[in-house]
Amino acid sequence: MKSRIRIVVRRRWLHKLMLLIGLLALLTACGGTSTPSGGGLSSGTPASSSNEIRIGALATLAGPFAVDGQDALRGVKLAIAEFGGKIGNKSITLVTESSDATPAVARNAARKLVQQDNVDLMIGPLSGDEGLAVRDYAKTQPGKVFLNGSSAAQDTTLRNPAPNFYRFATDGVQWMAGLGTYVYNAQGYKRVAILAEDYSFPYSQVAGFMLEFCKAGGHVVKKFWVPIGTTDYSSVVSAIPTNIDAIYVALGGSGSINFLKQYVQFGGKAKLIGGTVTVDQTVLSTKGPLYQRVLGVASASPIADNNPDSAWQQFVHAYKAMFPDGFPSPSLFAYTYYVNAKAALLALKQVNGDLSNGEARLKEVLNTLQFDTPTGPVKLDHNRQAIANNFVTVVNKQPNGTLFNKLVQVVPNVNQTLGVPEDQFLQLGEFNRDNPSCP
Amino acid sequence: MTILRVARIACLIAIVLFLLTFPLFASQFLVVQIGIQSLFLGIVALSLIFLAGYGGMVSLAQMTLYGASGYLLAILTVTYNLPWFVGVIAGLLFSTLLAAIFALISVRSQGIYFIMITLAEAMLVFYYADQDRIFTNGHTGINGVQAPTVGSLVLTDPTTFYYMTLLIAALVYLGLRYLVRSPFGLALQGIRDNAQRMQSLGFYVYAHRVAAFTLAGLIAGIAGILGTWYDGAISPGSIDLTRTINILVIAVLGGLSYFEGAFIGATFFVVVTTYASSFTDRFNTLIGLALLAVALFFPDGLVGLSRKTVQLITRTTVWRGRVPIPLSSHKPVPAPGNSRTVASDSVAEDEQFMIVSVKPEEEEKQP
Repeated sequence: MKSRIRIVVRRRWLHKLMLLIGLLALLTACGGTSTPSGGGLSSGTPASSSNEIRIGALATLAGPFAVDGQDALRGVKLAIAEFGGKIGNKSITLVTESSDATPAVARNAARKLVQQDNVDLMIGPLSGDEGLAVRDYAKTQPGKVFLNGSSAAQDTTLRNPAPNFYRFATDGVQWMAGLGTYVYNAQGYKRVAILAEDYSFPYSQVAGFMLEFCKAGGHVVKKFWVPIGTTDYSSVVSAIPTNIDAIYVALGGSGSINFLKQYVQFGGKAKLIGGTVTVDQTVLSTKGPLYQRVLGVASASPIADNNPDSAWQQFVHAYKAMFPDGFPSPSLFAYTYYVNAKAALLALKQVNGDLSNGEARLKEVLNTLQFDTPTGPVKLDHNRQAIANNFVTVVNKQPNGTLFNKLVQVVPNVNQTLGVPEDQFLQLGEFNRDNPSCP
Repeated sequence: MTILRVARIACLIAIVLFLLTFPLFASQFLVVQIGIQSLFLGIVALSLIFLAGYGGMVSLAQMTLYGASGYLLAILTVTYNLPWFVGVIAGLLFSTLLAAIFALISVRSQGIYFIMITLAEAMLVFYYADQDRIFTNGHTGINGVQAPTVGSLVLTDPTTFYYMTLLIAALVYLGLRYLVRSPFGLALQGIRDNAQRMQSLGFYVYAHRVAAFTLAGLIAGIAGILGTWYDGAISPGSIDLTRTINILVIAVLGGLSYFEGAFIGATFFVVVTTYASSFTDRFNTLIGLALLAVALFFPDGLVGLSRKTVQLITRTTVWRGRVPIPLSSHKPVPAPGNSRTVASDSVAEDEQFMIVSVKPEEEEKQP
C-alpha cells in the first residue's frame, strides 16, 4: 500500500512536468502566431508604414539547394547594402522566406510574403518549377511587383507571362548561348551524346545547346535522361555510343564527377561538354587520373568567375568584403538575385519610393529600365525577360596546377529566342526530352 | 461531473462558432494559408489516424493516395479538358481503387513490416510520377488546375473554398466517429487489439483490414482533390517522402488515437511551418523538437495533453474541496508509463470506445 501511494505522488509530479513542457511547446507555437514580423494578425491592414519599403526574398533554405539559397540571399543583401539600406528617406526592410525547391512550398511562401508579411515587392524563387508556380501566383496579385531570382525555366516569361513578373537575369536556354557554336568550331566536336537530369531546367539547357550546335552542323546522336539525384550511371555508361566526339553533361551537384569516374573506368574516350552548373568546384578540384579529362571542358554561363572585366572584379570584391564566410567567388545564384534586387532598387529610386496606385509607376520604370550589371548591360524585352551577355568558358590550369574556368568568349546581348524571331521560335514548341532533335 | 459536461458542451459550441466565423474576422491569408491548409492536411491525417489508432495499421501511403486522386483530377481536367465533376469522381474512384490494391498487398503484414510495405508503395508511385512523361508530366507535374464554379458558388473564392473544406472535413470527421462505434468499427478495434482472438470468434480479419484501408484511401482522395485545387497544381514534390512523413508527424503531434488530433496536429504543424521561418531558418528543428517532446512526454499527442490537463485540474479541485472521490478514481493505480491504463481511469462515459493506446499488442505477436 505504501508503495502505491508513492506512485500516485510521482505520477502527479509527472503530470505537472508534462503540463509545463506542453505549455512551453504551445507557447512557442503561439508565439509564432502572435508576433509575425511587422505585426498584426488583424486582417489586411498593411504593415508597411509610409517611411518603410518592405522587400521579400524567397530562396531555398531547405532541401537540395539549401547552400545555393543562402548565397542567393547574400546577393539581395549586397544590393541593399549598395543603396545604404534606404531609398530617399524610406528605409528598406528585408523579409526572407524559405522553400524546399518544390512548387507548392514556393507558392505558400510567396503568399506569406505578400499577404502576411505585406512586402511591397518580392524577389525569388530559385529553381525552375518554383518559378512557374510563383509566376502563376503573381497573376492573382496584380498590385505587387515580382522579380525572379535564379529560376531559369524559359516558359516563366516566354509562354503565358504575368504582367507584373520581371526577370532581369537570363534563362536556362540563354545560359547556353555561344557553347554549341564554340564546341563545333573551336573544339571540332561533330557528333555528341547528351546526358542530363530529367526535368525542366536541363530541358532548357539542352535545347539552348542544341539549337546552336545543330544549326552549326553538329549531330546529337543519343540522349540519356536520368532522374534527379542519380548516382549510379553504369547503365548509361554502357549504352553510350563509341563513335562520338563528346558527351554533353547537364547534371547537378556531384553528378558530373560521379559520371566521369564511371565513364573513365569503363574505358570511355569521348570528351565532356558542360551545362551551366556542371563544371563547379567539385569538378575543378579534381586530382589524379580524372585531371586530364577535366582539362578543356567547355561550358557556358551568365557569369564567368575569372572575368577580367573591372565591373565583375568590383562585384567579387564587394561580395568577399561583405561575406567573408561566403563562397570564394559569388555563385550564379548570388549574382542573379543581386541583379534582380538591384533592378528593383534602381527603379524604386527613380520613382522615389512611390508605391501608390498598385505600384503603377514602379512597373512603368521597370519595363524600360536599363542598367549595367557586373557582367554588362541588361534590358528587358516585351515579355519582361532580360537581354544580357553570356560567357563561354573552358577549364584551364593555372601555373600552380589548380584548375579554373577560363573565359574564352563573350556573347553580347543574348535575347530569349537566341536571335531567332519570336514567332518562329515559339513554333519550335515546348522543349522536352525529344525536342529539339538532330540525330 | 455535470459541470464538466456543461463546460464540455460550451467548449464544443465555442469551437464550432470559431470555425464558422473564422473568415469574418481573420485576414484572407490566415483563412487560406492556415485555415484551408490545416483542414485538408487534417483530412489526410484523419485517414491515417483511423488506420493507425483504430486499425493498428500505420500507413505511409496516405499522401500517395492523396496524390492519386489529385493527379487524376489534374490529368482529366487540365490535360484532357474534361468537366470538373468527371475529374473529381474519377479521382476519388482511382484513389479508392489504388488503396484497395495497396491493402491487398500489405494487410497480411503488421507493425514495422506494414510501414515498410506502404512506404515502398508510396515511393513506387512517387518515382512513377517523377519519371512518367505521358500522364504525370514528370518533375514539373501539372499546373493550372482550377477549382470550379458550381451554380452560384465560386470555389476559387477563398472564403467559399474554406467553408466547403470545413464542411467536408466535418462530414468526414463525424462519419468516422460514427463508423468506429458501428459493429464494423468495433470489430476493427478488436482486430487491432488481438487479431487471433477475433479470427477465432469468426471475424474475417483481412477483409476488415482491406475495407478499412480502402475507406482511408477514399478519405485521403477527398483531401487530394481539395489540396490540388488549393495548390492549383500537383507535382511529385506534393507526394514525396517529406510530405509523406509530414502526415505522420501531424498525426503523432495531434495524437494518434483521437480524430480531433488530426486537425489540431495539422494546425500546429501549419502554423509552425508558416511562422517559424520568420524567426529562424531552423524551423525543421523546431518541428523535430516538438515531435520529440510529444513522443517522449505525451504519447497521446496534443489532444491527449489537453485531456490530461483537464483531468489534472478536476482531480486537484476534487481533492481540495474534499468532495467524495468519484467511483472511477478508485480503480487500481496503474503502473507508471502505461498510457492505456493511465487514461482509462477517468474516461467519461461517452468515450467508452475511445482508444487510448496506439500500440496494438504487437510485442506478443511479433515472431
